[in-house]
Amino acid sequence: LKNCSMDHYKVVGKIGEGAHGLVLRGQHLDTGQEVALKKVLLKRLEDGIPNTVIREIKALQEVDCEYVVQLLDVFPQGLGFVFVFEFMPSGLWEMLRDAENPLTIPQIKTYMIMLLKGVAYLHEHSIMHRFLQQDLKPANLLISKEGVLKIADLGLGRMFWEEHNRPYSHQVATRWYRAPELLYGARYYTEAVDLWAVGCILGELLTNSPLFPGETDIEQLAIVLKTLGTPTTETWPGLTELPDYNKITFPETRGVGWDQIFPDCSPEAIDLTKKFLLYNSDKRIKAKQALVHPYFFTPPLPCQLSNMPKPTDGHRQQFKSKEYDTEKPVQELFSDLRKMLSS
Amino acid sequence: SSSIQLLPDSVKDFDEETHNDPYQVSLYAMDIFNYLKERESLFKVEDYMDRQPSVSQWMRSLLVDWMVEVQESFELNHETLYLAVKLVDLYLAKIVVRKETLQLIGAAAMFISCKFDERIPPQVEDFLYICDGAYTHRELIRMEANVLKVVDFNLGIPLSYRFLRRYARCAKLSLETLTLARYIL
Repeated sequence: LKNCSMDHYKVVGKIGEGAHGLVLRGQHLDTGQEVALKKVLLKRLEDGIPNTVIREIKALQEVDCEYVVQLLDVFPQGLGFVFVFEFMPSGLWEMLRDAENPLTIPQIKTYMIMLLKGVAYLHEHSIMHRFLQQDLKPANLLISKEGVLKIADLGLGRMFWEEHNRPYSHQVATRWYRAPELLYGARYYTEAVDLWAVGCILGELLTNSPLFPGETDIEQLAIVLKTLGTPTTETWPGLTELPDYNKITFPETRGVGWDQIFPDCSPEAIDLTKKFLLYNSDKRIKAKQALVHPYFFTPPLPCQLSNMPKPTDGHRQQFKSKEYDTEKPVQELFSDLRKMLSS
Repeated sequence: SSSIQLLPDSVKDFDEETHNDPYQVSLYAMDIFNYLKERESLFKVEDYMDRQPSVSQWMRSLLVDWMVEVQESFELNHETLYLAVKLVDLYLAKIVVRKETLQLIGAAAMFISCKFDERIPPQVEDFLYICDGAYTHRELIRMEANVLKVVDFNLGIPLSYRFLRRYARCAKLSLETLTLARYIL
């Protein structure tokens, strides 16, 4: 097959075990463009390619936003697909752990604007909920060499990979960013779940540590409730009808004061975080509304792209515990994936 | 609605009689067909036979006849068949194939278009069976992925058959004429 095979790319290294599998670093042979190659296996092969996957790939191809990682190409390989994305040298997860270069308030504001613009784009095009599942978390927010934040890993989770425990999992669980309605087992939810995640990310940027680091789903809910106070039918209409509401009860608490959670933050920062972290998902602020919140118009103002951190080529690797062998041939690297998946 | 306002006074609105039937979504009919018309030009198939050394017109017509049979025996929608034939042509216009794989392409195209159009699509095994065991499970699924790649995952392709049904309705054609037209398509 012309134009749709690995022959057009040369593998120049390994980016690492991404959220769902192995990611290789490659380069387009003709254009020299740097890319990330993700090999994915189909989950259920008995029925061939599920139409949901076809739809998902089509939706990914249609995404065209500066703040969303672009799918450059996708081609079949073996009984799976290789997704070709633009190469991103680092991520927000790494930026948060870069103790030598802590983020300034203007930089945090600019990252938030980029994130909200990406989320607003996806919500506006109804891409997220109808087609692509997305897990917003620092590890899925990548940073380009120009310093632009982009949402990554759209959709890919649901259809392709078997659930498995990653051996080198350095990434935090999606659980930390999961909206409370999901923790209570809501079957019908809206795009507001993404804004909860955005609120958690803002909180993490402000305090430099995750807001709700639950080790299990139950502990997750417990931490959220302990921090924000026990929800009532007033703060959360419809709460008692959620599937898992009666399965577990937590002690009544009034929550920790916002000033205590964010001791050194401006009132505007706290106000915006509050508006994201509302139990009532109908009242949660929308991405577009958040973009015009006073937080972004109060000094210190968001900074220009020229003042954003520019991750160097090896930035991501500085924060990984494990070194990768980039000398291995591609086939061998991809064969690891199979083992990882079946383990 | 906007579609009605676009019509000149002297032209009858063919969708008027079904305005009360929500299943016909007649209010959107004009928009839908304008959209299909707009997209039609994106899926032109050029004459590819010269570039296919081992495939002939005759072999293509054999394949299409076989696909018609498949459609009948699985009781599939006409749209499924037309989409599958279109997928085969789009594939052959881009990829040079051996004659042995022609049926595999046809089967994969039917397999894909069933998923797109049918409520209860036949299973992989059904398609392997109708190919009389000529291909393996793995081969069919790989070809499925290849066809999808070649058409760039575009399955919302305007089909001649849809236009025919629309025109026949607007022109109030008799069933005989429509059937004849279908045959010609």
